Amino acid sequence: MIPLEHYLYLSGMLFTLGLCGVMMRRNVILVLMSVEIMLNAANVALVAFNKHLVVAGGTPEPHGQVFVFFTIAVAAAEAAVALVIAMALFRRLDTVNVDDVANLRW
Amino acid sequence: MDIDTTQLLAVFSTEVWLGALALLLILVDLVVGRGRLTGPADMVRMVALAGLAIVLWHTFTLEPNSGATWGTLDTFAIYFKRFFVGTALVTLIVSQPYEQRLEAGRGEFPALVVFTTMGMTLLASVSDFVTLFVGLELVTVTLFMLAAWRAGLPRSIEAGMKFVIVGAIAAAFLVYGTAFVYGTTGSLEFSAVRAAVGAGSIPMALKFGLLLVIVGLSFKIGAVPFHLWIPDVYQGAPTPVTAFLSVGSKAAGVVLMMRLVFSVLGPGAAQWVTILAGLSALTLLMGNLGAISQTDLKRFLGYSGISHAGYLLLAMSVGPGILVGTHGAEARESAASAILFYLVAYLLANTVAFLVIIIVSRTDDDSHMDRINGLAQRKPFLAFALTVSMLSLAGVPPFAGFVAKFMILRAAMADPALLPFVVLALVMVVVSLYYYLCILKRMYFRDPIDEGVLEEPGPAARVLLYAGVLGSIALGVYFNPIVEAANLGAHSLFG
Repeated sequence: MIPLEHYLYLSGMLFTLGLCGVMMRRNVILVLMSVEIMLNAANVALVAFNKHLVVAGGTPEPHGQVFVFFTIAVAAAEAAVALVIAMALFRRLDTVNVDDVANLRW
Repeated sequence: MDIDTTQLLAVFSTEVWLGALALLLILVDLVVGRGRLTGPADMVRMVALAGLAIVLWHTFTLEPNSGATWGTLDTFAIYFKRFFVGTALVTLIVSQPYEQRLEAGRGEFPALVVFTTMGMTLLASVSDFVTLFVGLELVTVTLFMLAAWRAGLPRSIEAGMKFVIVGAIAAAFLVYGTAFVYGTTGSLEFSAVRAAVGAGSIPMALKFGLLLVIVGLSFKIGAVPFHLWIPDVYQGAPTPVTAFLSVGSKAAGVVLMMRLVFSVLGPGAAQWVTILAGLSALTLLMGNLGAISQTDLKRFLGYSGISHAGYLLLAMSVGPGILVGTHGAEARESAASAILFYLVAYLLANTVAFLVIIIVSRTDDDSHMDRINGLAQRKPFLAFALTVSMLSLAGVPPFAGFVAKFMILRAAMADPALLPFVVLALVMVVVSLYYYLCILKRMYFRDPIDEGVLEEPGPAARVLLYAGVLGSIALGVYFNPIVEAANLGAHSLFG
């Protein structure tokens, strides 16, 4: 069986990649995709922890896996709103580049 | 797991009513509205106000109940449920003069506010991480929509976009942290986490998880490290939404943070004091120094809000560090009660400030500070109201803000470990006095630049203005009723 650590390394890598993407990407759509990667990293960790707990004989209940469904549903709602706003942004300002959207400062 | 539906309904009755009300509002708008702007939107607003008033009355009939598995209904939760429903009611009244200027979407506005309130009241009685996440996202996602409400204004869309990105990152931090808490404690319930934290040595992974959760929550209360969105979103969002954000959304973060720090971490919070107090110091510095050079009223109030989050964080770090046993518990309880009082004083002062901003920013929705130049000559009462609000926010006696700051600093003073932070907070009070007084200077000693006609606030908005001013003064002199309610709420948090 694959040990827990491997899953956690994977999820840590995904989370870091997502965070880097958020900070380095300039396209709004790609920033949103990077955030989704961060959320999925959390999901991987949750499922892996749940499996580990079941194998270790801790809790037979799949709380972690059920939580993942909540995360997925909420992330979908969030993505829907985010994309609507991105579309309004494109219609209004003709750009999806976050650097061009900086009228509010200081 | 057995689920007792009756108990569950008893605990979450406020949320059920609010959810039903929000759906009803959408239906009313759909049936009566159909694209027309004036009549139906007012009708939706009337239904919303009446409904919220009934729900507010309902929250005063709630009895503490700890029978359900998925939430708690202690006096602390009830205090906050009343606070949130009251805030929503205030927001809907504040938005009335503003909504007249909207070109579209007036009918949905009350429904979204009610949905947000439902999330906030849900957060007040959270007892596990799943409910926490769902409630928090219900609040955040609806606020994304509200911030980008005026899709015709580039400013509003920009605010919405920035809000969405920062909010989504904070949510990712929160879930990732929750995963580690779950992995180390084997449960998503607060009680299990409290047991694990109280057991002595805390595993590294649990610390890491809790730290990420705290960082994720700092987004909601507007504390460092997730504070940068505040000025931008406050400035760009429609003014009533900013008012809602500044009080309701911040209080929603505060209620979670308090449960986590005071109740879940409990006496085990000793190791977190340094982090919390450090965050509080950074937040105070960022907020106060940022506010000095502002030229936009809403942005200015954003920075002022960041600094207020700093005081609240300071109160949260009272107790477990050096003070132990009953003495520590006492100090923590008075700190928690100070936070509860602080939020009420902040709600009163902020409501008045945003109402005045809505009136002076007129139809072009420009909240530049020049707009209030010479306000005392044009509208003496508005100038007086804003004066009371600014002095209360600054913490000048005899206003409510003074009592609030005094309570927080006195609670923090009881803890010798926090002495340097209390000194910093006092210095920051003086700094804040400077920029709040600058607003008064503009109103009383400068000549008006803006020549436009200021519309009169409607009857409801006028009543709210009077209530805010009188409340800020009254709570500064006769604060016992609210302090007693706050003590009661704070006490149940430690029970």
